[in-house]
Amino acid sequence: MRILITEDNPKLLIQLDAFFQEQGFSVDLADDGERAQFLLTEYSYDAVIMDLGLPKIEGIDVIKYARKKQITVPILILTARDNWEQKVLGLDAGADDYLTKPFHLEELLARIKALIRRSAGHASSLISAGPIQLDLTKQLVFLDQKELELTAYEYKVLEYLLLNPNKVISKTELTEHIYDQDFDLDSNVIEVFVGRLRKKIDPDNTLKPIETLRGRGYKLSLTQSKDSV
Amino acid sequence: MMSYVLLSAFEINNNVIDMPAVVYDERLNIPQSGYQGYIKLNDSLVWQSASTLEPIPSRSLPVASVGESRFIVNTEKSLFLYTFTAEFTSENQYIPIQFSVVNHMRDVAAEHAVFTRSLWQYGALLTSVVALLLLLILLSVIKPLQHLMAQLQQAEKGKIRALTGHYPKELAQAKHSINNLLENEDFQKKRLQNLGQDLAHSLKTPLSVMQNQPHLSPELQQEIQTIEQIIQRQLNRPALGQNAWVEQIDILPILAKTMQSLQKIYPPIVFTLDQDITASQSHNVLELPIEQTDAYELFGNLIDNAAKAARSKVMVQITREDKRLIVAVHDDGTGIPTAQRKNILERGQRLDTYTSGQGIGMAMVSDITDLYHATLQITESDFGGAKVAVIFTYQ
Repeated sequence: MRILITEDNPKLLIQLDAFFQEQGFSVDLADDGERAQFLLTEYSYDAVIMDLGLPKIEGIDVIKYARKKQITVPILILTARDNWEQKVLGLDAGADDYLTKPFHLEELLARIKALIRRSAGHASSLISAGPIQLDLTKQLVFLDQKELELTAYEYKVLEYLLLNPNKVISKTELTEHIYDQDFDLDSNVIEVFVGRLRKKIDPDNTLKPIETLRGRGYKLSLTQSKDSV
Repeated sequence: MMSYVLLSAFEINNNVIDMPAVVYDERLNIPQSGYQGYIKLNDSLVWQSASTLEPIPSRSLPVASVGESRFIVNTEKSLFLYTFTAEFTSENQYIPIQFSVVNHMRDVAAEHAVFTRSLWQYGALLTSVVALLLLLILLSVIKPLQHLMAQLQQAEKGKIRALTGHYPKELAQAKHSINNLLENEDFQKKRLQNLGQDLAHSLKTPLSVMQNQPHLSPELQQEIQTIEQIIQRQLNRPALGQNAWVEQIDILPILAKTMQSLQKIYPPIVFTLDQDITASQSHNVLELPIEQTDAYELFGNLIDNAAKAARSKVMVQITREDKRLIVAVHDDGTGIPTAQRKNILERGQRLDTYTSGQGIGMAMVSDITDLYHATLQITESDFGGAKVAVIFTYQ
């Protein structure tokens, strides 16, 4: 999953960057509203953490701009402004959640994951597709109820495909959501990860979980079942 | 003066009186003029004026010594009587001649009546004109005062933040001073709010960094939480007191927006709004004299607490009676034990919310309720959970 973090306090920004990278996210950083606005329009994110009191362009204005441009990425406001008028203003501007400082990183992580899950249409943190079950909270994968060992990037690829089940996902899009901003987008390493994933999920080549649409991208070919609560 | 008319016309030669029948003053010539003239010689009447139709008895005429005059008012007969006695020489003798003038009171009374009537009429007219002028002057003075009073009342209700319109120079200074006061109050309020927000921002971000340091001891975590709660409660104190004259605001959009926002944060919870309006007036029924920030803080904390406690639903119920407006928040959670209700309702307490780990939301609700002289009531909801009501009373 790719996440954009905007925060003008450098210490907090570094802390958030390190934390989310540890959690397996690809992280882009912005320390002012202008950069945040640019990154939002240039790249596709799975979630955004937005501070409000940003230099150059106010956080609320960045949110309004994104919604006006039909950028539907879930946005969580992370700010010291904790009076209710500000909260309602922020949510009314288009944010999807609000967390006030000081906060616990675990709570922030849980709420970001919940936002990503909900925006993909999943009420629960467990996603099932065919014999595969993915626990978004614990970042575990099960195949026919047995835990499947995946590398971090293999997990990221599978997670992205499962959260976007009805979409054809291009190699570029997958790369953008798996890696940080500076990654070489022309690299073919994604094909390698998809290939390894197929072998682990479908060793007998009977399930064919991931379909390749030549020249277009990848699509999950397994049917998702109803979310378990 | 009339006696001099008689005097000037009288002559006596060789004891023979020569007095013309018609004299200079026409009033002594015209019958029923109200004036009569008499001349007596040695107590005998020797002449009377042509105006005398009904002579009065000569004994009724006053007597005066030579060179003297006498004036009598005979109220019985309504007569003014005047006599002047002069001495004339004739054949080397001094002969006293008595000249008398009689005037009927009715003429004087008539003239007096005319005079009095005229006096009253002109007096009344003058008084009316002066009164009208005074009224016009008063109105021109009162009108700007009334305008000023009306504007002050509007400012008190928060409907305007400056006095407008033209005032006479005597009131212009008052207008200017009041506008300066209002402007200064707004400025101070904004300054304090910004100060609070800037301070909160400056303190809270470093607190976040501290809180998320690895291997933080539980004691330090607790202290950080305490600092956070102090900041939250002190820097988010209600805005009232910074601005004495508060605008009436419609609370319905505030409630609706707050519920929409909370729906995003708590997607499994169903939020509904119910209105019960029995007030006789049809407009402005949901207006309250409350600062917008405080309204958001009050209702935000109330509904947020309910959402945290709820299993599946939260209802915001607005009841508007003639003298009261009640905002009640219902949830279908586990409710609030009676002992805890008392703690929440007691003033001045440092309170926690009624479910754990939710900061100091109910403390803010209690503070704001007290400040706006509203009443907080906690009972059981028909949904099975708690019903927390804030009751505002209109003056």
